[in-house]
Amino acid sequence: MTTGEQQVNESEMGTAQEVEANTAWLSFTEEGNKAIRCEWLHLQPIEKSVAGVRTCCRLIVSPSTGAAPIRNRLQTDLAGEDAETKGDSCCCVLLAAPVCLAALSAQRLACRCSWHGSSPLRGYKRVSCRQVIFASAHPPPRPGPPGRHIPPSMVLEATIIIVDNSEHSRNGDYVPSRFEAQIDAVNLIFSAKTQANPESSVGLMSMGGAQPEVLTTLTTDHGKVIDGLHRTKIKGRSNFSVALNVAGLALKHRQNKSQHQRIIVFTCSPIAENEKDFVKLAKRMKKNTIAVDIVAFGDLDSDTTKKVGAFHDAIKGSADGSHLAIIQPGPNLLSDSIVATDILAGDGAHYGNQDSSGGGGDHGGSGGGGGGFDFGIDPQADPELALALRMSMEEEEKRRQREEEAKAKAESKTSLEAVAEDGEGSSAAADGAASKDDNNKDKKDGPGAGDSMDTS
Amino acid sequence: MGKLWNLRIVFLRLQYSVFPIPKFPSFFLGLLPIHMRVDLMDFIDWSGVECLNQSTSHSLPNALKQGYREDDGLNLESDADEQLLMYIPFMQVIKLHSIVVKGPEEEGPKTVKLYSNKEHMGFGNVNDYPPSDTAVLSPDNLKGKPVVLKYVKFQNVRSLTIFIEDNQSGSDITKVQKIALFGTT
Repeated sequence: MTTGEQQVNESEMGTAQEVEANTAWLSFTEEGNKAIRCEWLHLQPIEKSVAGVRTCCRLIVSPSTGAAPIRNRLQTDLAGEDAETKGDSCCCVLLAAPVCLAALSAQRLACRCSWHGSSPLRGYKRVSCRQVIFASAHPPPRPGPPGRHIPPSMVLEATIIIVDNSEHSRNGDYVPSRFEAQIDAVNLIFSAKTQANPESSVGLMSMGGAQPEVLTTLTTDHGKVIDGLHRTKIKGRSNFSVALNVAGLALKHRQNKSQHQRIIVFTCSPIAENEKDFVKLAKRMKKNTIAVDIVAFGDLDSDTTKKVGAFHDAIKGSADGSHLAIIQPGPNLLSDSIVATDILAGDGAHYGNQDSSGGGGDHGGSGGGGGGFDFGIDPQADPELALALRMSMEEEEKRRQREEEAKAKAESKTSLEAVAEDGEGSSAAADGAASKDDNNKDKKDGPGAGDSMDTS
Repeated sequence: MGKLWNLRIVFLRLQYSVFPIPKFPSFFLGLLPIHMRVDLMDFIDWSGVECLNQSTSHSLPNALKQGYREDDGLNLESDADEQLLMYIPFMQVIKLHSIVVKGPEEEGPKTVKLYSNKEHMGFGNVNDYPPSDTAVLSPDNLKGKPVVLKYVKFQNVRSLTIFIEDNQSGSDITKVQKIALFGTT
């Protein structure tokens, strides 16, 4: 254990410089004897602490640390009682290399975890968390030779993305236009797939124009994919089944046979094929062990939805599961809506996926990004944090609901019993409420306020 | 000069034949009786192994890998229909002598077609090539009796494609408990 601890500290110290660009360090101060306050600090690109997410912090596990020491560390800390930090609630985003994530998610860490911060900021204490949410980090420095430590849960995939470049994709009912939205989503999917496993490759096809065309063969080079997207002209009608067959052929001749085959189709135009042929095509794909994800958006009349649904029903249950996402027009970005679906979730080990636009995102633009996102940060600038916050919020809501129900039940009993139970049960509830209040207050007051966080 | 070199090489070879290093499989195999030929599992190039139409939760390693294949509870199952297509590359050229396919009585495979050195086969083009050998499995075969193949057809095998065309009962799912390949290197 001690060696494990040393290893963690050492690697954090040692690699601090090199991973700095990809990480944010956690800093928190002690207030009084009990209250622990966290805020999180961006060292990149500028030193910055974000207000309103005070109860959030990031945990950094550098890729060179290896999974075992972290696991041990978290385990012991989970078991260890820490009187000081009891009762404060915070959610924690764990930034870890995919390698570490698999090992950690196997542990099903759910409640509390503690972490000793070490350099570069002195005076770190530990932070306790109600919740650990796993999110994947920026492309981590690759640990050793590629593919060495990759556990089987990291799916190795060859993915062909088919974009719809028919005339229907000129429509502006998605922001900024249907085709631009697809480009954004393709970038997102590319990053997600190559981050889940560095050996996963992605190819690109278009299905509009004179005939479906392979724009980029399977590659791990982001530049080639962007280049392929740039060469695409919006033209003609889409040809769904031909495109799918060509993609299947391209996948069949992939270099690395251990890659699972997957096609992700974007479609925003009416589908010309009749349902019977469509189902037949799905069966053929299934027989060739190709998973097909469909992102249907745009002209979502009942006929299209029905065909797409039939296709999905026929292919369901094939390798790694095929997904269907029907995305209605709206103010949200197409890529944001895709993040919320199962298409990128993979086996569920990594929830958040780095938006490729995240690096260039404007940190100053706060709050206004996504519709109905009210945590005081820009979800565009930091999608995985946004996702973590959203999830944490939902869980908190559920917990409060449960507690309220329990409370109502207790009140309906005799008053004496109710008092006794209420006293116990409400501490957590009050805690939750307090943290929420704090959250709201913080939004108004900025980072300096909200010292009275710990109410237990 | 060239002649001298050749002589030297011949001399070296002679030396080695006088003091042979006993490489077990290649050296002794020819002398062994047929039923003791080598299990070719060790020569499979696992990174290239592929199986079409396998069910995700019941994949090819269940039938092909040591330890898994001995367990009759772990099956390879077909997904969309009853057919299965396996591509098994080897790390070196082998000679294939016989094959064992174990399966349940009802859902076990029936017609098995074997192709040697055919890359990139799919269900679409299985009928384009004549199989190197076709075996119709009997209930005895499904219990573990090896099927002896046309040995001459499998003298230079770099990769083997096994196509399971149908199963015993004609049901939708084919199950395979074990596949073992025997031959020499």
